[in-house]
Amino acid sequence: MKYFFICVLLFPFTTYGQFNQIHQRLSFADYLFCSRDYLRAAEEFDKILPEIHNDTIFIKIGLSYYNIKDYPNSIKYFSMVKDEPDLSSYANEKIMVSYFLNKEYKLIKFYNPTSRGIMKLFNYSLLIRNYPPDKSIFLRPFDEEEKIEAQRFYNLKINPPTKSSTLAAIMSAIIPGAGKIYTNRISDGITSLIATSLLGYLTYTNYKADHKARTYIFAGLTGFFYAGNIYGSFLSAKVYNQKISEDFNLNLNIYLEGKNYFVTEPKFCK
Amino acid sequence: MRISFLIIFLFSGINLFAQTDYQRWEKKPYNLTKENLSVQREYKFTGDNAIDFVVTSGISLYWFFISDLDGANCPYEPSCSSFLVQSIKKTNPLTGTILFFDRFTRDMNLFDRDVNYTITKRGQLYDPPEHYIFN
Amino acid sequence: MKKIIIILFGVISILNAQENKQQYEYAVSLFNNEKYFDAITEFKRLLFFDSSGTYNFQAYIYMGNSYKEGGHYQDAINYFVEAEKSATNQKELFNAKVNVIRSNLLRGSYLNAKRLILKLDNDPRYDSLKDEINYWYGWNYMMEDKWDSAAFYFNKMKNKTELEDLARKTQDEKYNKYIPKIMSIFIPGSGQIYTGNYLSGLMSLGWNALFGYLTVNSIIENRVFDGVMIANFLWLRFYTGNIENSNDFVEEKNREITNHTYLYLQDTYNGIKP
Repeated sequence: MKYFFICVLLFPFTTYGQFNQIHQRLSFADYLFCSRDYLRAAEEFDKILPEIHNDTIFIKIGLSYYNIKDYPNSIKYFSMVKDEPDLSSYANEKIMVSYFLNKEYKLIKFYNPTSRGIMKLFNYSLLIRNYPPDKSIFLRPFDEEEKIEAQRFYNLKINPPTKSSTLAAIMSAIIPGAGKIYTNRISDGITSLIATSLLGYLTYTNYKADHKARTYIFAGLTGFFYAGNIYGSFLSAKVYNQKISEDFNLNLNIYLEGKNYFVTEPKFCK
Repeated sequence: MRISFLIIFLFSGINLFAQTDYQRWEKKPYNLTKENLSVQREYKFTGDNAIDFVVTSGISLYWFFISDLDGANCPYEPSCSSFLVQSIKKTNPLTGTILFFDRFTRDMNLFDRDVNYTITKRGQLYDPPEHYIFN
Repeated sequence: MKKIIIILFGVISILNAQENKQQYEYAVSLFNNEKYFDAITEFKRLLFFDSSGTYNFQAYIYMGNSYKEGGHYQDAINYFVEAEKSATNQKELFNAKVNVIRSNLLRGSYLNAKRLILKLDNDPRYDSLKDEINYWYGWNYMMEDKWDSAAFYFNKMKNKTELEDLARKTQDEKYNKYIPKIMSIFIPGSGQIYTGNYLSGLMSLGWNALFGYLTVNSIIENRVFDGVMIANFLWLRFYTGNIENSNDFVEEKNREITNHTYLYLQDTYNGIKP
């Protein structure tokens, strides 16, 4: 009888039935999560959910989807976190970051005024959406150290170093290629100047020499190259401006990624 | 002794790799053949309207009789003639032609090529008309 | 008391072994049904729970093969290397190393594959397996498009395969890449005609003849500037284009020929492939 009891007591500590035991499955899912096999981890956790569910598991599923950039799913699981106040504020922050990364900037809201991280993210999302607030309002949530960078990004947004496409077109109309040089395409501008003036010169000499057919051909070519140079300069400024705004978003995203979007991560893995 | 056993037990069979399985994948067909990177021309003598017909068949004739025979002179992808066809299709004949002349000017420029363009798989400069069409 | 505990643990370990075996078979069945992603999950589960390490080697090989089937060659190589580490005997070790080489061949990293084969070749432990080593040398050269060397290594094998003849045949079928080029340098268009592109060759010849004639004509008529212009912008252009074309056609034809062989190896050949 005594031995029977020992057996019964020992049984739970054995690993028999390990592939089905709920805690073993949980530890396997944790292992997958910590070895960064996130899709498998999320699926494993998801299978366990009917039997065990707590905030940590929801967070881990959310993080798994977050790490594989599946933001709709990560938002879904992060919003299931309800009970523990610490975890739910963390989950809320992560939801907002997911919205940010999923480019759903309008959905970023801060319910809790103590969460400065979300306020910072919200302010940056206003910059990306081209609705910059007043400078003092924009800078309010930032620490002294972060203020320098924030100010830089804010100034870049308010006064971007763009080039005027109309000015480029007018410059090119006066001197072929000048507009391209103005938009930093220096070699293109010089080529344009040489091509247009050479063709113009050829038109002139042929006209002088009374070669009618050649005059028409060269005049047509000169006209098209001249028009192409004006319109090309106009577009070149647009391309330049587009690159400026793309670079702004890229640099901002790199900066925010470095800051981990102002979220402090709890440690789930050793 | 016991601790070392514990450590061996804990770490046996556990390996950390950077994972690439962030999406479910299926079997990929087994392939030993090598990809053909040379340009495949699509000679066409049809069109949706009169202008389209004239442009496409004119370019096809140009490709067949001249462009295919005079060597690789265009460093771009799409080539200058394809650029003309595409830009006319995407805008209108006049804007398309003006865009083409702008492209031709850039083609004559031998400098800063690696700075201004990304390089494609065939080692050419990627410069489609979409880069120059703004709404 | 002690006895009972020992018996208990014995029973448990037997039960565990049985369970691990079931899991292993389940994972293998997934692999056989081409559900490679899930197979990898199940093998990972097996490795996580199987503390005895009985299935380590097999599981790693299966995982590597799963990744290989999915075209994820870097992951496949990682797992085959892992299999190398957990190999229990020389045969398994060799098997794992060959698998690394095969994944490298599929990935297109021939230099790496060659380095690994060379390592096997220089290892005295595998002296009895020279046939297999030469076989992979041959495959490496075939994939690298060097059919002569491939045939040489297939010839070194004691048990001959059809691959030697195949490699020789492909090498014979391939065009020499210099002949059409040299032909085109002397007579424009002749290289293209040699490779079977008659229309292109004749048109090349026509353009070159026309612009050559125009150049010579303008120089004879004392219009030197026109002559230089025509020669530079038209004749030279079509002349270099002609040489480029003959080169391109040879490459194209040779690619067709080699792809035909690769297709045969891929679909019809019954031996071991990368």
